[in-house]
Amino acid sequence: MRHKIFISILFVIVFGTLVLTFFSPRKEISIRENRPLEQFPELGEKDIISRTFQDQWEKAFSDQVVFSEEYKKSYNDFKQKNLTITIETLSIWTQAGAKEEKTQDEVATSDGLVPKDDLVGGHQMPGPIEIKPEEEMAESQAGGPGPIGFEATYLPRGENVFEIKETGNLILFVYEPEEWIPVFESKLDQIKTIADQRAGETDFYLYYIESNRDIDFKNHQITHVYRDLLQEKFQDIGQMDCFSVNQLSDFTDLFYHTDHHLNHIGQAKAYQDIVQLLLGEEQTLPLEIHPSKNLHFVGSRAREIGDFISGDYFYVNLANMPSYDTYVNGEKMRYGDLKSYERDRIFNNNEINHYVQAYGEDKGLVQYDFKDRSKANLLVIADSYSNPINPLIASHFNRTYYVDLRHYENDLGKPFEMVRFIEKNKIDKVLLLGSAGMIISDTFNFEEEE
Amino acid sequence: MVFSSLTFLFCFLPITFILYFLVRTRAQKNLVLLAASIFFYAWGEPFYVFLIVLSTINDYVFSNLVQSIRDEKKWTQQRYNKRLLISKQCSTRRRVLEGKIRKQERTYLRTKIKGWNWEKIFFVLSVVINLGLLGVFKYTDFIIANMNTLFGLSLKAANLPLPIGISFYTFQTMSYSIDVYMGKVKAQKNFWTLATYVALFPQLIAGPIVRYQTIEEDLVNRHSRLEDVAEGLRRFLIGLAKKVLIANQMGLVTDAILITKEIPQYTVVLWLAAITYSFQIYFDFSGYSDMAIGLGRVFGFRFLENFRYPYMASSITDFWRRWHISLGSWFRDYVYIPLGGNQKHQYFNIAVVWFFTGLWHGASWNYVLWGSYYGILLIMEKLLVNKLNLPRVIKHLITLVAIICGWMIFRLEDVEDLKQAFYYLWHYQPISMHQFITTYNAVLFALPTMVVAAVASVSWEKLYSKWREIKLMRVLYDVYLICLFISILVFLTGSTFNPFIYFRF
Repeated sequence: MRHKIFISILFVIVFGTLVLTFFSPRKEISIRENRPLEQFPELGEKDIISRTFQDQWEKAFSDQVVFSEEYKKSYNDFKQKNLTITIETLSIWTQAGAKEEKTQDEVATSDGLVPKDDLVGGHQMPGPIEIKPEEEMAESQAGGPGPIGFEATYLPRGENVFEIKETGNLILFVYEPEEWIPVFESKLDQIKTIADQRAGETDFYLYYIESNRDIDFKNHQITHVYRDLLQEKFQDIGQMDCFSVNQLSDFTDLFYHTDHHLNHIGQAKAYQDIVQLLLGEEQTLPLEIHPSKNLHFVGSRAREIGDFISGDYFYVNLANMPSYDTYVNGEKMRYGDLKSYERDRIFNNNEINHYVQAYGEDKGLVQYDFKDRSKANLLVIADSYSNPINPLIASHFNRTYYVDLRHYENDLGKPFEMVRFIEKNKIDKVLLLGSAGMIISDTFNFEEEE
Repeated sequence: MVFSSLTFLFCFLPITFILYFLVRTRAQKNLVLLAASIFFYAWGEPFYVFLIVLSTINDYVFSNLVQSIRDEKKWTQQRYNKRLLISKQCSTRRRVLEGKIRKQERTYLRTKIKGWNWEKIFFVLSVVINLGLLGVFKYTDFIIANMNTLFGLSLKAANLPLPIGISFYTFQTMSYSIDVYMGKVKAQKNFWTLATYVALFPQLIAGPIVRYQTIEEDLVNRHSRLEDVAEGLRRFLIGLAKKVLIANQMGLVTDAILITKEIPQYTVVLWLAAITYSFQIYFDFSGYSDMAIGLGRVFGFRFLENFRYPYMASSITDFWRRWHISLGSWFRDYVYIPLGGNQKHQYFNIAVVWFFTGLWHGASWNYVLWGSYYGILLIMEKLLVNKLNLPRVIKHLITLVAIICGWMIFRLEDVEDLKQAFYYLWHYQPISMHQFITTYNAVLFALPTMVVAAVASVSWEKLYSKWREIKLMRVLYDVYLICLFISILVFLTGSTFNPFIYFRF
């Protein structure tokens, strides 16, 4: 009897899974993982011999199997719990070893470790912070303690993801200047070649956002190594400004806690800086912070470790703007859904990526047309950092083109040729807007094929 | 296909199971198993299926030739003896009979031209073909690389992909041919039955090396009772849990630390990697053997045990009686004893066996070194046995350290890496906790699994056999196994969690 029951239960699990997997509608996308799910492949002789069919089938099975989302969630929970156990154990060992010489706090600071009850994974909800006047902001930036200033307790939270214990920010340890400085130099050379071709006709600008990749969290410092390099080299090309992070509080105040992007304060500052860079003394639009009620924004870093509990409040900057048209990849359509956030008509679901929902998906080409021919035309080469301030910047120009090189070729079916684009669209100013991640990416490439 | 894949668990196994129990006769069941096994192999190695077929044909043809010659010889001898007996009784019939016997002898001699021993020739041919296939596909590049180094040549590597499981099924089929030649088993007349034995999917890819004589009877006459199916599935789940819940987790730690050309210089970290690798390889391999034995039982086969808690061994000799038993006994019976065993040149025989044991594991010098390392340890143990009377705990600890060091040799293919690893294993170099955490943060979550691994490395048989007598405990054990299965699904699916951060935002 016992054997029969045992076999029957296994039978139910296995055949139940099999039937439910193959007779349920195919799942197309995972919101949690922010990616399209793998689909079962079609049978092909060559694919079988090369084993691509089998590999694809297995991947598709993992993605399509019934309860896959629940399984993945449980696995991530397990990882988080085990990580807590490891840190607790290591903390106890460290404290035991250092007991005679140091206090618990000292041990925690010097080793980046904390007493066991300090490992937290709960909500990190920064409250609303007012946008400071520009002078005050500049003061705060300049007043940083210099190269050192990132002393904090970094708690491991997953694959290369750490949490700044004091603030709850999730970060990556990805400071690798040896690897990336040559890449920066080669990309700058490419831009210089294009700028030289357009000398006297088009002005070039760079707004560089210092972010996670610029900070040497391991050694608790920022060296500004990329910024300094850009400042040195870009002076031959055009004008440059930088969103500098001088101390830990700049980073924790101006970026989301669970996401790699600038938060509403950082966005406002970037907008003000960029307008000043491009247009000198022109007044920026007054911004109004709109706290989206009860919205829980789970950013990319939290998603990376499958943590849908930690999150940020989601505030958006609103402004009164003249009417304009938006074209996405050449087609006139709405881009982003800021209006719904303004009206608080957003469903509060942890799985929704509000940054994408509010400011729009990354697209190869997004064009804003404010129909004011007295103003200049602007081309912005940017990544997702610019999305929240795209319309704000565009409101100061006639037509503004945002090109995201990661998607341009795929979306428009042809590679991006900057010189031709500038000529065709009568571009007066070109702005490169982004972080180190954009510059070092393979797609940030202006070498045109012969 | 591997056992720890969703395709195997939810498609292949249930379909094979249904088909197997739907058909009635033994021959049909064998055919179902053969077809399933070929599909199983082809899923992971579609092109090299032909090698298994070739290997099977080779062993089938030559073993039957050997068998027919032997039968003929035996038959002739029997007839001769019988008729000689009769002829003694009647002298008049002798001449007639002698003529007939001569005729029969001529038939026999046709197979033995000018003193050639065709039995031996066919046997040697089959072994040469088997070893030839293994040599070509596994050792060609190794030989080329060594020739280039030794003679300053610049021969190009063949870059032949290593067919999955070739070392296992080659040794398996060789054991069959040797046993037929030695007269331990009779050659299988039915090709499909032999093919089922060679390709039997439970043990095809990673053993255990099942000898023909072990399942000879099962191949033609077996019964899968309900109890066998249930016990087989229980054993399969235990093996699967070992692989997915322990070995894979330990593998994450090992792989994060032992990166080729980037071996860390911290003693604690290296010992951690050595220990996690020791767990990984044990739970991976013994898990696979458990799954094979369990699946075999589901389909009515009784495979021999391949592991018996090897990390509980109190000597290296003891360890090799507990680790990969099927390989150890293969080398003992087909290499060590024919060389003379304990009777003649014992130390030389040990050295030869362990050189080849190392080479069998992989075409790289670190495997040869690893085999030789055990050869030396075993010789030392034989020389020192009974001379050192150490407490059991100390013996156990020394054995464990020797085994763990051995696994480092096994794991690190690069000589420089190996040298560096051993230097820092034994020359203390500290690492700060901060550095440890920041460097290995991605695998910290897997460390608690070491405790589970340590507990599962020890035998709980006595306790379990007591519990088994209590009905409630048996039920709880089944509940525990079902929970394990769910956990396995969580791990198999969950480990594919792959958030794409930069997709369209």
